[in-house]
Amino acid sequence: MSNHKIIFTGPVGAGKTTAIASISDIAPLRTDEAASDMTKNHKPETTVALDYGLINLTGGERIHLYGTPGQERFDFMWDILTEGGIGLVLLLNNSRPDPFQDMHFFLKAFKSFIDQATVAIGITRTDETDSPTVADYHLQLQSEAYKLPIFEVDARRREDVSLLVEALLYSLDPGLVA
Amino acid sequence: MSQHKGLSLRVAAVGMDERMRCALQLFFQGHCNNSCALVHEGSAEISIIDLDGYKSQQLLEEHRIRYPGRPLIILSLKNMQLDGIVCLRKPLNPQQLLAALRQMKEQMAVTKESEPEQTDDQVTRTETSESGSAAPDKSVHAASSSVEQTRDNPCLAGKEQRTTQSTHVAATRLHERSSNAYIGSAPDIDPENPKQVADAQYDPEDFFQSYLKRALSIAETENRDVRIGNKMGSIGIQGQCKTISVGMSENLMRALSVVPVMNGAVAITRLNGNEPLLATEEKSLISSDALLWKTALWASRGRVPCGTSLTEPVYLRQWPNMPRLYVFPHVLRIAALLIREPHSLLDIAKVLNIPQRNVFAFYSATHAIGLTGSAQRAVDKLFEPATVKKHRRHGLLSRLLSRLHLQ
Repeated sequence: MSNHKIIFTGPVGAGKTTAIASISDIAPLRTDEAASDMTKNHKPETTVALDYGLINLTGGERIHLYGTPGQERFDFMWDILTEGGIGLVLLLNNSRPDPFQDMHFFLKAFKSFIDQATVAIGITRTDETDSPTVADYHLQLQSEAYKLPIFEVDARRREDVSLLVEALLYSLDPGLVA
Repeated sequence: MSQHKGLSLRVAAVGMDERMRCALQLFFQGHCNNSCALVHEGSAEISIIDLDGYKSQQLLEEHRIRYPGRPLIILSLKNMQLDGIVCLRKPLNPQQLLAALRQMKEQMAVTKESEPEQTDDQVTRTETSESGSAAPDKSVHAASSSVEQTRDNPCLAGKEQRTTQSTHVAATRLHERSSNAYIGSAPDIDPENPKQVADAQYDPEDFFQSYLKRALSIAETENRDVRIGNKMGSIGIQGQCKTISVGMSENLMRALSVVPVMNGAVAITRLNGNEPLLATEEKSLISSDALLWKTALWASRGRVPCGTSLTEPVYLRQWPNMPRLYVFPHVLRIAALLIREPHSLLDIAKVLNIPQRNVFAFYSATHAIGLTGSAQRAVDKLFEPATVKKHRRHGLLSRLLSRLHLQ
């Protein structure tokens, strides 16, 4: 497996599958199945293994896009998946009961990867639920001394997802030139 | 699944048979992620005409008469050159077609900018569709009905009702050419030259942005509706509500914003409970940050608020919410550098090797929404900012960025 990869993670219904589809050069490979556990309260189908997309670069290089399953029982895969990754895109569903808890959970779960790479956070479904606001998420992270890019995104919009990934890349190296 | 993407164009295929249309449709699905759609020529934004078909020349002439000013892409087996028309040679290179579509989109944005009676893409529409879900994008169809809803009850943001109207828009990226309207084209200044330093400053108090800020403050502190504007158009701000109703054309707003406000040109009116927020039914929604960001950019045109030191470090409190703001060139790079530690504005331009006006515009816009300021801590001035180290995969990441920009 090539090491050039970006990992998309977040809770059920945050839009990981959709976000990957937004920027992938190929039709994303999906492993959605009918939800049979509590997930079905959020959406009828959910990702049970990985989502996979791809961005082709000039010179034949490829950036692999992996989406983690939203359900925590698959967290054993996360360490393997992140090995050698460029960075993490964390998508949070603003309409979930406690999105802050989700944020802290995923930041903690991926801490070692974030420490060696970086993370950008996209807040989805803010059109359904306008609270908490982006400023509230920043406040939550103040105590942890994180100054991360946190954007409202619509996972279906390529430009939104692209900006989030660009912020991730510039966080790694502001000297990058497109 | 229907996707709504940054490119987002309605395209007519003229003079093409079913197979060619099908191939074009597959291209849109594969390379454009469905962000372009084939539509009937009457409702298209741009047209692609195959010039190798039967009577295609005649078709082209008729099309230009029927839809004057519509951007055109001509496809031909021969090398073609036609004034004002993008000509692509068959067989098509997907990347060239994609680049041509992008070019068209940018041209349309620039044209729209200069049209007298336009509505701004950035001024927000309401949407009822689900973001972040796999649900079909209904924004285009939902827009009008949502506006109707907001007319009846424009501030649904009651605390007990969490589902609200949205001020969502697709991210709007300004490229070098179209960004001139916002950040100007001033050359770099010599910090040793007092006149040039003075010319790089403006007083926000003289401009519409400060009137707007005042109106927002009144609405929030007095918890009442406020209207700001003049006879030509106005903006309605609801007490304690972060959403603003815009009832003026983009051109008027820009005209009010770019030059100092003359006496009496703008009025701030406190409304009582019975008065309508806006006199007009035509309105769109926007967040206060997006409006302040935009008006500050227009006013500053690549300058900084007076009193801003160009050589002392400034801080960035948090990343701006970029997908909901105008994205001008280098804005993400500046944010990424400044969020690490305070830098002086001149230092940022030097480190990133970018025009000073982009940095000055960034500071003015972020300052207007309260994200930047002068770094007061002694430690911020003790050491020079750390050198920006190249990432070990600098080349790869740069190529990925280029790819994201190209799509």
